[in-house]
Amino acid sequence: MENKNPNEQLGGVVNAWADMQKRMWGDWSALLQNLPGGGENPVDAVKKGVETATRGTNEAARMLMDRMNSSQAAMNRVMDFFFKSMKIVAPNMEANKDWRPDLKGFAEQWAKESTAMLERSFGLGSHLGNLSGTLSKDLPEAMGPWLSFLMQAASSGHVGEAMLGGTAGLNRLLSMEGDTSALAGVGEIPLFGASREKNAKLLRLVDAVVDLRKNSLTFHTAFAQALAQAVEATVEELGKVAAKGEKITAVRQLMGLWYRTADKSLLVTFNKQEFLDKQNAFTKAQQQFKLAQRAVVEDIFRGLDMPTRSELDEAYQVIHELKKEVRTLRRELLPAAHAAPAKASAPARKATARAKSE
Amino acid sequence: MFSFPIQILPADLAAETAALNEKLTKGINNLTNLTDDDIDIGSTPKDIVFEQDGIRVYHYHALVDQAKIMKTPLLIVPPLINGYEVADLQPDRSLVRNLLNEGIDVYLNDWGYPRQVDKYRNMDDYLNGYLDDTVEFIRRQHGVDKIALLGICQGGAMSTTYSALNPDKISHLVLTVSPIDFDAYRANHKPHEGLMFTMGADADVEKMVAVHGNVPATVLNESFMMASPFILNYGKYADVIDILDDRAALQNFLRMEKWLFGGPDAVGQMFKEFIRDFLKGNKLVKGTLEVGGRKVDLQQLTIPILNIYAEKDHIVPPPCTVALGKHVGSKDYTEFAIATGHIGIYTGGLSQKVLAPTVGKWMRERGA
Repeated sequence: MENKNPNEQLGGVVNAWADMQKRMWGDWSALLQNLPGGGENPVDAVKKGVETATRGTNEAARMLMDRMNSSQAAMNRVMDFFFKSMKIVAPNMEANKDWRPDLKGFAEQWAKESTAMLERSFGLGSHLGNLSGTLSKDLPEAMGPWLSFLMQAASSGHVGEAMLGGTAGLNRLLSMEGDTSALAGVGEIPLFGASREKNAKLLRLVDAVVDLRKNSLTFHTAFAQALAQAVEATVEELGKVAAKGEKITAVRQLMGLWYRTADKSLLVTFNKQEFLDKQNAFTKAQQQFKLAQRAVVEDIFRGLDMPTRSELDEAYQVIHELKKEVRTLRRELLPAAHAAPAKASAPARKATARAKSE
Repeated sequence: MFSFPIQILPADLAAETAALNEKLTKGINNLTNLTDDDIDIGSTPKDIVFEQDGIRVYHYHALVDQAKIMKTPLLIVPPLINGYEVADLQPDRSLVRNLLNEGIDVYLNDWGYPRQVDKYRNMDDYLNGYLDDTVEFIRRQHGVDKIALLGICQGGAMSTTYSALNPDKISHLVLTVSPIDFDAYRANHKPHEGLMFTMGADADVEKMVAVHGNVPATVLNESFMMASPFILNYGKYADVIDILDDRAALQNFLRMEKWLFGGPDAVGQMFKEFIRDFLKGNKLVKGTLEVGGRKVDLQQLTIPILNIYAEKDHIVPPPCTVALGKHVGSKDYTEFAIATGHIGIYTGGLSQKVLAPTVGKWMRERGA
């Protein structure tokens, strides 16, 4: 029987959605109960189970599980946001009232809360306080925290994450999760040496971190607004569904509508120069941060007699030029091998399909 | 007053969940029983006939009688930023295999997986060095003056440039979804088209390369995925549940995933020059491109050209491809459209029936 109360209806959908997730993943977990990880939460258990069952035999299955797991978790958060928006809209639609003002109010409030959350998680004030305090301390003995900070900071944001080989950053972006880890280790930066030059490098790094935080905040705020617009577009689509007298009777049907509409709406935003400028500023700040970071790290490496990236680059450049020279010489010395159109045989060896990841 | 359209009843939900559960239960067996060998890509039999600095040239085994093989060999030039296997994803979705069945003698340049030590390779190295060495090798092997080139996406832009620089070595030029004019999509711009070009036009590539050396494949993948973030990040993996219980369909899905996420990093210097000269500068069509000190003049392209594009291509919008016709000197220039997308042109069902036969017929008609 049709439920006329939109709040009850949506509440039921949200509960059913959560239950559906639990049952789906729970069944997988039960199936893999004899494998290590069976006692953990369903999603982790499934992931570990598949990893164990496919170790050394199926890289593609493991990759798929990773992607399904990460996307599933983020998807739940996105759907949660969507359902909250719908709870605002539904009563208005049901009462044949204009739903836009309330949704706009919700979106603004949500963007404000997201921004505030990001500000808190970025913790500009307190972290900088910690940082300046730390800069006045002596060089810590351990390098561990410093290196850990490098890893964390470099992975801030979806682009940074991707640069380290992951796609979880995009998931976090889409589900508007704040990145709390980026500045977490700054307070552990070792102060090494007291020379002006080295301190200047450290300060440039601090500048880059602050700049990165600011640009990250601006970008994430813009993205929050883009998501709010996507909800608005989805509600419009729901209105069209209702106007045609049609109904959405399955969760996946609803997800499909939301994804299609959101993607379409986001694309409009992604093409706007204003958004592109913010995205570029964020990306450039990330890159500037990495360069400033490298300058500091190279000082540490020099102090430890380890080769730096700059030194390796010099070597790479020489190797590149030498290889080019060899190719040129080979052509000059063996013109027949390269130019003469004469029938010749070449040693051939069988090439195999790329079955395993190279 | 209308009814709120979301009407998901508890009974419907229970049925939906039960159906999904059934698929998952069957699917988990498939997933854990598949091995890497079941997810093979690029499997058409071939020999490595030439290798230089990690770049391999493959020669594919003939699939038709020797008497039916065309005398002009064809070299496939894949993009530098994707694996070559898109042309040979699986036996029933393989451009390479279909070309062999057309009686074409197929070679392919596998650009490989560059390492940091390779990051200074530039456009001159790739075109006047590696690609030219491959062309020379094949000419020598076959005792012919000229060979045919088939470019894939970025490989098409490279093939066009190479052919314009070396009109004496190339007899036929076939392009597939190849970007030539990087601004042409802007005239009637639709949001879903050319997002990578739009984003790339503003990107600080100098800094990107300074940071990374080689630009990681994951960065490029994420740019691709921004064109449809929800569907490619979530929708696709929600939908895969529907095929988990179908071993063959799951294998196909995993092959595509393997190709998609297993691509090479983009060589730093080459990437920088490609973005600067092709994407931002649009120098190929402006006639201002120089490679290794030699000017690239598209009017020098007087050979037969077959330019194939995908009607639903949002990565390289069709106007960016077909713009070539306005700039080349060839009197024998043909365009061919396939109703598919950028990747579908190689892996889609329709293309399997259309793409290679079109190339085969076109080459035969032109004495290849």
